[in-house]
Amino acid sequence: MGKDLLSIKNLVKTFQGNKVLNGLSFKVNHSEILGVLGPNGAGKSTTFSIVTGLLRSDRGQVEFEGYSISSHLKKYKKSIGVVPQEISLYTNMTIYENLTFFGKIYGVRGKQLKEKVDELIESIHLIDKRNSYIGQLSGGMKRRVNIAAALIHDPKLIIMDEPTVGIDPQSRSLIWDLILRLREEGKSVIITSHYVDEIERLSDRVLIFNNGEVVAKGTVDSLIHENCNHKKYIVEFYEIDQQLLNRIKQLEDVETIEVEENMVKITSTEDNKVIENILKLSSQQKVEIKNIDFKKTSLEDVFFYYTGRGLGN
Amino acid sequence: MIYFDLLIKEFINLRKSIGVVIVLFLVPIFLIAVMGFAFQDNETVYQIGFVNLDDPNSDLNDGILTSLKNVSAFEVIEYETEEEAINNVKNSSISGCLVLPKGFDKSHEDGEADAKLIVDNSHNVSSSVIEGIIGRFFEQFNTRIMSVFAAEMVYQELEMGDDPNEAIEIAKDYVIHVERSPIEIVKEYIAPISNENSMSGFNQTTCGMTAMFILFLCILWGSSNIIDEKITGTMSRLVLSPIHIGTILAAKLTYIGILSFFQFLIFFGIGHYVFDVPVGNVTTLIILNIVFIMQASSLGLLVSIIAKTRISAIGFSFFVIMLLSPLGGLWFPLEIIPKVMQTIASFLPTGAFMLAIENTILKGASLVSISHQLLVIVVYFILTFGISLKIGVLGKASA
Repeated sequence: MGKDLLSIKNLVKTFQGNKVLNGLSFKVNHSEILGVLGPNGAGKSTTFSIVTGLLRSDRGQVEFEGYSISSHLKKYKKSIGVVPQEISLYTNMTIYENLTFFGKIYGVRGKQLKEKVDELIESIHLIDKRNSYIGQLSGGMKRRVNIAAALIHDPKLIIMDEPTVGIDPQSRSLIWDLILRLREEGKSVIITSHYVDEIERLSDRVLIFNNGEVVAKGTVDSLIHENCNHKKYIVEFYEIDQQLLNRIKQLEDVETIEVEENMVKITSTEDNKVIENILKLSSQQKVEIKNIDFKKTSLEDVFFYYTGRGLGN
Repeated sequence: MIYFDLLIKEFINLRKSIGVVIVLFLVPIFLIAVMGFAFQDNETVYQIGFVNLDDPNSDLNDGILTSLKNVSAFEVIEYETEEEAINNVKNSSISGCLVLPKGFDKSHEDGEADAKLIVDNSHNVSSSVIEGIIGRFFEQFNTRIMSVFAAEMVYQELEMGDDPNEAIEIAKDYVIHVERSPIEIVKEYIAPISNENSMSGFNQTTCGMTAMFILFLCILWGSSNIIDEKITGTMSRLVLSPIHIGTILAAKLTYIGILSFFQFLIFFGIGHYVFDVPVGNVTTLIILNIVFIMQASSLGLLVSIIAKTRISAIGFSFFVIMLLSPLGGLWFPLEIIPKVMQTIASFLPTGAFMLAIENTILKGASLVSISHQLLVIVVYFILTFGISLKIGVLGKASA
């Protein structure tokens, strides 16, 4: 068994003259959870459309276990499970009917299908609801069935798009356990999420997309470590002064700056020099500082550093 | 101000519901144009066949042909044989045919000539009109002939110098006591069952309404069904699975097709057993309906692909149904609309269906005899299904 389960090389995709993917490359290993972060328009959806076989790239290659997916699309589709962000289930059918149907379209039949459906219903903790219609379930329950429907044919790679968006903590925790169990079973998972704690908790490795490229990759720890020299300071003023703000922006040590009402969030590679300079400037401008805070680098900070945007923007 | 902001917002949102705009504004305009044109008071010109099996040099036969050509309601087409003319009546190329049999001129000299008028009584409007015009035509012709006969009688009975009143009496006596007109029309109808079986009343309504409600089911329900799957994302799941897109679409079409077929069975069952609608050639009738249902379902599929929202799918569906129904003769018999519209209808799936079903139920037509109409319907099916496959069933639909 080779190391790479999925290998994506130099993907290029252009829509109406707009280059959405710009030579994007990454790999997915066996038994790995790969977290993918990226602002809107970074190319995540296009990449997943290509990786799921819905869309063809203009250039580049997608290989699964060493073969090109475009030349063995049917075989490839049987090997992957896709969990869409929307609840893509038949609302007028029960949980059991939905899972049975999706099993059948993947060629799972008879006793094997029945056993798999029962196993999945148990794993998503919905045994007592197996004959309930999807329309009667809560949002969290629907999300769990949505995931189960992608696992019915025992895929090697599962692609999940925001699998826990808008659900209760209990369902979220159940889904996290389910994802971790998939890795234990030797499956690989690609997961996109706007919840940074979800990516930090689940991912073995993280990719950050921006402008159609992978701008950062590695484990959560390595990404934070590589970027821990970017300190984040939060300076809160009683009343911010536009002239002061302009002078702070011009400081050499300031890498990025975000302003929220009277609060200024600054990243800098210099330890305390930037704070010294801000104190000097505020004193000159006679603007009072309410509070100064130092924040430990998080994955969200790394994301912001590479994309210039916060998660969810 | 807020009132106007709210009002403007409604119009901005209307951009997303172009289907509704089409239904509300364009369809009525289209219907006014089509219905107005169909029922305008222009004089209809009927194509009528003429077969002279008698002496081609006869003055009488030639005179009848010349006079017939002068009737403004007729465009006369000459045929060599009666069989050729009848075939053209049967396939609706001409509305009727006048046949002068062998020995016609000679019989006329004896005052006992019969001209044969062949009409397709399944087109009861046009056949009645033609019977009326031809009847009046020969009435006038007979008057002229009888005046000649009366003059001949007078000539034979009288000598020069006799009392003129006696001549008038002889002429009167001839005209009063003549047993039959010199030329009489023998009518022949080509519809096999009876003159009652025409595309009117329950026959037209059953065929037309069956076709229209098949369109409603296939296009409106069919497209909404697919749009719903696109909106909920289940269609994406299906497309992501290893199933070929053609299989997904074929299953959809079959589902809609089965429902439509039951609709056809119910409509025709009631039509036949309650309202005496003939079924003619049952095999042809069933195959014709299956082909029509396939075509209509495929049209529904195309609408579902073009439309982005449920409301625009409803709009497009109504637009297509309202376009195809009157133009295809689902609301009124095709024979009563102008020739140009009949020609347009014959190239539409609904028009082809109505022409074929008419031949099937009234004349017991075989598949071969309606092959032209079947071909039209099949071409539409191939086009719409092919385009749907090419575009692909996905695409973001929103509620």
